[in-house]
Amino acid sequence: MFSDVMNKLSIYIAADSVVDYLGEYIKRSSKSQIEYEIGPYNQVNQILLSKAKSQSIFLWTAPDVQIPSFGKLLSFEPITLDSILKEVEQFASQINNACREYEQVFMLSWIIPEEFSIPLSLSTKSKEGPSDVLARMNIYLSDLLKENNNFHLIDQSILSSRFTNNIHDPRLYAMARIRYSLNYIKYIAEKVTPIIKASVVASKKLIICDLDNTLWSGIVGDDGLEGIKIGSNNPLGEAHLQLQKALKALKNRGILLAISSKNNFNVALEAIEKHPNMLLRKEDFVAKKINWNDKAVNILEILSDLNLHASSAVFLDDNPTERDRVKKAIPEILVPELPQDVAEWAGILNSLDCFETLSTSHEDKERSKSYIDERKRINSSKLFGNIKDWLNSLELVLKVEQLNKYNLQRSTQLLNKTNQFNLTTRRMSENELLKWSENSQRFCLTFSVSDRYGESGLTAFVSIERNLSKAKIIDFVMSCRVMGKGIEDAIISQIIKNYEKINLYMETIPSDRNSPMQEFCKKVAPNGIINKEIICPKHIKIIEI
Amino acid sequence: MLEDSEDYLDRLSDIVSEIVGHNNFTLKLDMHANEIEGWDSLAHIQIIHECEISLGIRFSLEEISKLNTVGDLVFLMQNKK
Repeated sequence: MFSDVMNKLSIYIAADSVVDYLGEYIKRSSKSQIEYEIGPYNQVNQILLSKAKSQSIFLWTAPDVQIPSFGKLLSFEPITLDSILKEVEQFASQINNACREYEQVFMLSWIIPEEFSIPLSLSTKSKEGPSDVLARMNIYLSDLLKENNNFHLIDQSILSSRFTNNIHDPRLYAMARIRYSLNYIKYIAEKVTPIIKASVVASKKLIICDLDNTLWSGIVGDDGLEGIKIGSNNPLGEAHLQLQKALKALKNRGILLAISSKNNFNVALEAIEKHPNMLLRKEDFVAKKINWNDKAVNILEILSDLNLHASSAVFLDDNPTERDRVKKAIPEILVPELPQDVAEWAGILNSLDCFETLSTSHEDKERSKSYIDERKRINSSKLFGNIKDWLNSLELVLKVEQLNKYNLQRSTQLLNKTNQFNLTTRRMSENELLKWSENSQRFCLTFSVSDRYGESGLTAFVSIERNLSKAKIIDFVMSCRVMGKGIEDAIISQIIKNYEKINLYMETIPSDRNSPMQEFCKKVAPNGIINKEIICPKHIKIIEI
Repeated sequence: MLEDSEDYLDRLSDIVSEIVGHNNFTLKLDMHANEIEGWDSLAHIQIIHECEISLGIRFSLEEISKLNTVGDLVFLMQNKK
């Protein structure tokens, strides 16, 4: 029973630069106690707005990438503090979403990337200098997310200032877009591993209890208020009272209590309010689901209302069938096995070491009350809580242009560099591509992406070969920088416009790097022929040049 | 004191097997990285890093990007000051 408490730790690493080594270093540092998975490159926003991929998530973002307006500030472009803080708000709402999906959300606070040259006396200028603004950004982010108890903003400023080597290795950036030296990544791994471990072990914050034969002896619907036993020199009644005492003590030090009981609401509430020996009263419970619905459904509603993850909850119920039902439906919730002998229950509850140790400050005692009171929430009208809204907010524009002498160089570069979103991994020199494309049966298109934050440049290239009866896509490469935004679907929708009457074929040559392309082919061209029904995603605007 | 190519090759072998997680290979000077399982671009960066640390040297970006065979790397390890 107690082994449930030591959860297996698995962490999903989401970053806007290549930090793949972090996973391996964390695994080593934790002696393989922590398993990891690396999220797709530079898709932090998408990851935050999607379903959980793992138990916990680790965010390593650079402020100039994640908050584009701050990137502009670092280049001394005129930008207002307000616009920067608005972007922080949007990021915070995405993290808020992740806090509901993941058990724990870890993030390294923002530091000024070492690559930038900052005049030290200007950097602290109020509301204008990078250091001043960055401090406000970190503080604002922290404030916005302060109600999220599973959000941990790790102070990278302290960590980085105590690191005695170079944080940035320009060679690694040139080679593989890694912004940090291997030594720094290893150092961060060593410092965050104990934080990750500590926050997962003692993480229970909520106890959901049944009523009949759990908080009292008897069934209030059958025995009535006078028939149930709590204390009053009745042996079973005394045992249940001891359990209530243990629960009350936990509530006093900040653990939340809730009820999930199959009963008539008024009958049960009357017992709670009116029974003379009842220790726990109405105000002690932050949620009361007393109805005839399925308990698993009730519990999920309680968790959602309280903005808590299932893994921070404990469920107490005398009925083994109910315990089983909840355990199976919500595997992350801790459901202690309660033995036949009620006298043992208080002791079992007290011996669980999974409850958060909090200092019993006034604030913690008030925590229960603050959940009941209206809490100040992030103004949702300004923020993007789901991925559709976020994609719309990007104002993506896709420019289509034929291959010409001006974009030949960049097109060739894309062909030779791209691995993940690459149809055939065909490599060519500029001259080879130029000669190949001059054939009248061949047609080459380049695609440039821009959004409200700026230009991503030429980031996709497609070549097609056709004869009278059919056409075939020969090359399709797209930079991983623009993956995860539906650009590839927009590209297909644009291409099929020219081939209404004939079949358009697309088949990938699988490599061990291009599984994103393999997935895409399965989706849009399942038997080698492109589905002509594909339309441009609504959040993307296409411009032909 | 490391003297000849053989010593450097041995040291490199140790580093490589530590990083790719196996020693089902025998390093030869004319070998390429892709002949050894697990020696992908990410492992490559770690291998270079360990070589630098173990010999107290630092390669330039140009030197790293010109590396073609195992022999090239051994040469660099031997001659970098």
